[in-house]
Amino acid sequence: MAETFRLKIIAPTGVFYDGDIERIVVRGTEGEFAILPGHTPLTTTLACSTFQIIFGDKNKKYGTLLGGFATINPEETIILTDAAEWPEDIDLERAKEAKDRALQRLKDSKYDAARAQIALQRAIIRINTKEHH
Amino acid sequence: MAENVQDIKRRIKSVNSTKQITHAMEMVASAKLRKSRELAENRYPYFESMIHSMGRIVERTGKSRNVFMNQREVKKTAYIVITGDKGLAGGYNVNVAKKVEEHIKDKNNAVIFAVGARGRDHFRNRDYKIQEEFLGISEHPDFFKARQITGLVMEAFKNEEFDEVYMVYTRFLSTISQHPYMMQLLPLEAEDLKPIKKEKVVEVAETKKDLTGMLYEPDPETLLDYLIPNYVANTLYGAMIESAASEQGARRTAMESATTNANDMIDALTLKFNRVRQAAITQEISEIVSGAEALN
Repeated sequence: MAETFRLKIIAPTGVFYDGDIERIVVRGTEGEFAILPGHTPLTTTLACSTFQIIFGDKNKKYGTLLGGFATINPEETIILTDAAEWPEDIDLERAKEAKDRALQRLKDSKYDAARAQIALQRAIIRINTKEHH
Repeated sequence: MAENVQDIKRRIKSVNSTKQITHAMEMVASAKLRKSRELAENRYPYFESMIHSMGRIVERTGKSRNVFMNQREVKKTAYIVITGDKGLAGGYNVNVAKKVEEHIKDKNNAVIFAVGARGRDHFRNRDYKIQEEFLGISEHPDFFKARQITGLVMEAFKNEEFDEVYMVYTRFLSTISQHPYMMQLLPLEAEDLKPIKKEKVVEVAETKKDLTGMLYEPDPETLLDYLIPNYVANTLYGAMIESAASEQGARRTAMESATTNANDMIDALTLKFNRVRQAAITQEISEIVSGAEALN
């Protein structure tokens, strides 16, 4: 059994994950990085991305994080996110529809391009997470 | 006893059907109340962690140059008014509206962001300026909706359309007691964000260590830029949840007393009904008797 640390992923609607893990790979706004036990204290913002948790028994689990920020301490990491999902919670059809809609809106100038861009990004991450993991 | 037996019967029937409705509404409100409370409990972990993180950053940066944390001369005030979309909840909607009206000194210097149809109607009828309205969400608070609202409000605040923002909602004290409450949402007070005193005593040593060791990436100011909108949105989300719970609580109480009143009314009417019926029978008997006597 490898060394582990406590990870909490909390969304506004409730605690998404709370448990001991060996490693988590997330993408920060400055690039992808992994958090291991005994990490130096760090607070950083996260991008919309797929994350990967590796448990003490080497099992892996994937999920999506839609933005947020992480407070990292040697024994404990808290990730506050706008929304998090496991692949099994993702509705592929809906994500694909959202992607098409966002693409449509990007072409149409009457919609807010920035929002459509974010919606598109989210849809793509959801689809990737669902299809690859 | 001029009243007709048939009329009384009809009234009993009508009161009874009203009673059934109020009773059903009471039940529905109880069920919804439970759901709202669950939402409120689920929100706490996020909110607590966020306040904690923000408190630390603020402690570190001291006075922030962030536009949302700087006081400026107040010319115009915005109010986010959270009410329900429906009535029949006792004084729930009116109390919130009253609270806002008490605070507004000059109609021309106030703008309203109305969450909920009742609040909107109230202020529209009284010629207040309603900048935005959000209907149909009071009963189902949603974080993304809350963020959309605060997004609009913060944008306007940044453009100096108004210089302070108050949020008015109903605090849920218990299932039978709810109070309208007003809090300042913007600009943020750095003091409010610092860790609560009670907590500080326990964590003094740990906090000190964290403050020296904690790295921030990117810099604390950029983090604050991210955190503040989230904090404000989450505060509103919390208020919306609490208001939703309060609405259901108020409605439950109102409907409970309506049901009790209907029961009392039915009792009184049934008594009256029996008396009238008895009087009619007595009268008939005495008529027959006096008729028979006249024949003799």
